[in-house]
Amino acid sequence: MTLSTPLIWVIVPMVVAVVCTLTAERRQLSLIIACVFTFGLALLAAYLPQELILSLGPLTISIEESLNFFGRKITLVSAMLPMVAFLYGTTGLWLLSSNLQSVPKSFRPTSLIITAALTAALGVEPFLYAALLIETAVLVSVPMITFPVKSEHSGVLRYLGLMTIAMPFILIAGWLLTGVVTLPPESPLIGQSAVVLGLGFAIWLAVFPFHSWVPMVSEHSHPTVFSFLLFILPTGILVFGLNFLNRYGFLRTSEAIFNIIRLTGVMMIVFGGVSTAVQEELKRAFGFSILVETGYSLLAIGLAASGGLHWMLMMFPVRALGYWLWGYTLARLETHYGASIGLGTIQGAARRTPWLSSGLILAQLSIAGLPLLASFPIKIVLLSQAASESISLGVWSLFGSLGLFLFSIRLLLSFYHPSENENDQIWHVQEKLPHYAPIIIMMVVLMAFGLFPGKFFTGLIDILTAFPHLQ
Amino acid sequence: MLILAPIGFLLIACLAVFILDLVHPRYGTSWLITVTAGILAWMIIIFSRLRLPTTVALFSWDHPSLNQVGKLSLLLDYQSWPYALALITVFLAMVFTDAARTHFDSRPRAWAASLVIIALGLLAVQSGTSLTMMTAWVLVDLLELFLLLSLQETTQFNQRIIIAYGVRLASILLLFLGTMLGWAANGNFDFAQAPYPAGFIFLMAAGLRLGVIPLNLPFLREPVLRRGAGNVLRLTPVAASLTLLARLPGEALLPEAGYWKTLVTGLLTLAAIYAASRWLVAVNEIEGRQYWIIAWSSFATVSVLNGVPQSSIPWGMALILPGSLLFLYYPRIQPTNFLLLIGALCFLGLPFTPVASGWSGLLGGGFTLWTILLIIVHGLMVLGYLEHALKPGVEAGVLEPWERVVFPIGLILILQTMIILGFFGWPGAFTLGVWWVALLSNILILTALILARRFGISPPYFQLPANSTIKKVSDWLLPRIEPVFRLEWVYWVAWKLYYFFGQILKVFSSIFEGEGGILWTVLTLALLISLLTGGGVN
Repeated sequence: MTLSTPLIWVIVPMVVAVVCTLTAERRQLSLIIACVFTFGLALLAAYLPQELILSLGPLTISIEESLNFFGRKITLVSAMLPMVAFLYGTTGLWLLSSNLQSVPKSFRPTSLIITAALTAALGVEPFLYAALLIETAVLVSVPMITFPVKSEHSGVLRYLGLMTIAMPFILIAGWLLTGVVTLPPESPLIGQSAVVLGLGFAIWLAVFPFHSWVPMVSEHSHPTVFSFLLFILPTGILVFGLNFLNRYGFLRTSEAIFNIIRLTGVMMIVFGGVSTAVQEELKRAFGFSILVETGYSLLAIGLAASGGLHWMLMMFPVRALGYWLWGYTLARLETHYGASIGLGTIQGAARRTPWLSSGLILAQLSIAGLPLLASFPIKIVLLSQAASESISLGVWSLFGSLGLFLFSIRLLLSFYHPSENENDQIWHVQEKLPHYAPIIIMMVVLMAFGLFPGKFFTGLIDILTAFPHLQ
Repeated sequence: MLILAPIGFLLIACLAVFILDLVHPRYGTSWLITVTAGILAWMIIIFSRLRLPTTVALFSWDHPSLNQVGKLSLLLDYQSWPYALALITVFLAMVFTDAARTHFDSRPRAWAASLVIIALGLLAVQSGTSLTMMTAWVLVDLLELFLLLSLQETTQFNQRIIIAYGVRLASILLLFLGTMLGWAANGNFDFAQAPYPAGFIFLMAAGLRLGVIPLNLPFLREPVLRRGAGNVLRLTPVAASLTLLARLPGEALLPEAGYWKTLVTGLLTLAAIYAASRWLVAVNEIEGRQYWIIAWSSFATVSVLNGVPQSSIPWGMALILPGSLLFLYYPRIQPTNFLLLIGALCFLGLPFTPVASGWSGLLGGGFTLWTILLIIVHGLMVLGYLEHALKPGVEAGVLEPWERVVFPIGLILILQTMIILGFFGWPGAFTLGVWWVALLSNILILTALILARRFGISPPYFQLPANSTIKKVSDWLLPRIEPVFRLEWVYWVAWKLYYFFGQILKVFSSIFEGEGGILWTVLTLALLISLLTGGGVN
């Protein structure tokens, strides 16, 4: 029996998405189907032998790496499977919390389609078609992010508009780059194509000044949906970006390009951090924190010559855990305090929902890079490397992260601020074990990641073997 | 293993006491478990003096991509051993004296909390790398935050507790910054070889945590657990910071950064003067505890700035041990009051007493204006201690017979430890020291006592008569200059700046997210590109 990797990790999830749509009214059934398949696909990708031959008793299944699809080819080589496993694993994690109140019904099928599209983007040939697949993911995501607010809200339009504008930039850059390899280094076309490519990625990754849709969408969308989208899309885009670095030598060797990427990264960290620090709305603050994380990814790419790509990849799992916890706790807080959760509305929440409050603070601190928590090992190594290039790069980046810490303290102050006429520290805990058990588990996981990073972060680095020039 | 055993004993005891209290509360059994764990830990730490330095690797991040820098280890050396011993002694003294405070905050849950705090404190003082120290600080701080917020019964201190946590967090971030810059300069390093500016940043981290750089007093009143467990809770993070000071290289500041040294020494002296004067007039020792901590911490920090980090240890010991003697001395039993006076001998700084080796840290390069001011501060601290120590107590009859035995044991244990440390706590502990500075300080103290008597003021109350002019002037002046000393205006300015920038960013956001946002985006992009190309990046 012969199968192919794209069939398993691109077509099957699409079929499951259709099944989930059909069973959307039966939420439990839909949840079980989605989770079983998603985690199943993740486990299969993680444990499939490198020879791509699966033996189940007398049955031997041979899996090919390519699939022809409307004249195009999708190739998922075995080196890329850790990334596929990670994408499906994290999608599964979000699907687990898709039964929360007011998560749109469309979330399950949509998230599966987005993950499938991004998986296809990892291996589509010609590789520029990945831009179309990413655009597909963007278009598909629109209904789920507009769900709670039926009326038109400009954040979604801006998101759609900017992401769509990015696509032609990437396609044009790809077209320009086809001839660049043969050009002499002083040709102006090289610089022009790099600028076009850079603009495309900057718009995709919501780099300042293209960031405005991020807080707008985060403010109005469901936290589970938004946290998933803002995790999965940049992850897919960043991995897709590795293709360009791998293919074009002039991009890899240009010191100026890496300088600009580093500088942009630091600017994003500082801008996102300072903006987070002054927010009143929790969901908007989350949006700005995501800009900080984008900044860290760019900084890591900018330090590619010193192992930065490893750190960029190692940040993905930590980020996924932090975003998930953030999305989960915000979603639960929304059910208690309403859709518009600001620092004013959650006053005294720690005495009513202590686990939720702790979970949110911990998620924020983990993303910020507090020692003991998941992202700390990578961030301190990344920042020290940045500081070894230039002390100001490292110091400014840490200064940007300060914004996240400052917001955490403001959050803590609000959680413990007494409401009116509340002088006694009376605890009215309104939480149930099934609600806070995931938070406890995630806290333990975040600490384990923070203490033993070498045990958890290694798998994803292996995908660099799929990019021979980047190892 | 010698390093881990005390921590293990304490954590196991904590679990046992907690479970016992949950399932079948028994005060006596819980107390016995706590004391047994404390004694075992104390004996092991005493024994480990024969095996210094001892190190144990906990684990490492162990991945090539993390550059092998992430190593977590514990180190018991001549700098950390005195603090480890002091911490466990204070804990044991707390448990012994708690026997006489059954009507106050002496509860098995408080012992369980103290057990875990001390275990983490030992982890922090024995941190072998900055990474271990950061981890331990985070744990201690989170635990302290949790305990303070969950144990207090009113909400009035919540804001102060969280701000105090914020300050601690800032000190951890300074440690982060120092480690980051140290790695950038040298790769892996230990505290004693911390390169510039990492060493200086570590010093700032410890100073911020101790509340001396810049002066910060989050708690104007103690929120909860004033005695007993409260003392452990207050002093453990302090000990962890003092260990960092003791481990820093002598040349934490480069010679060419002299202005920094002058500035920081000035700030420290200011903090010390303010704290000592507040300590002297504090209503009681508990209200004055934070000033006690700040004044001695300033001495320890100045010692490091002067290039003699080893001299920070005696000042640290003066802070922890005689301080605890006073703070744990409740209820006051008149016949045992003399124990406090023996405690005072330990920080008078006389030759061959524990603090004798500390004077060289204050002198540093020479006798300066700062030295004179710090000698005066020393005098004020001693006078304040005497005032609190000489307050009358009650008769021993108020205690149960067994409490009458156990209570003084706790206090004597502190005195014994001070004597042990005075003899061989750290290299050069038993020394003549800079005897003339000690003489100068003690002459000042004696003169103050004599003058006080002449003005009709006699211990235990160094308070001026209510109708005296000086008292009237000071009553008018002190509340007015106090905010200046407490540097609250600095924090006010910082808050206003933060608010100002916040408003600017909000305007910025509303422009970008408004109807014309896309146009503004394009315009900003054009501006950025022109700026970048104008800057020579083509």
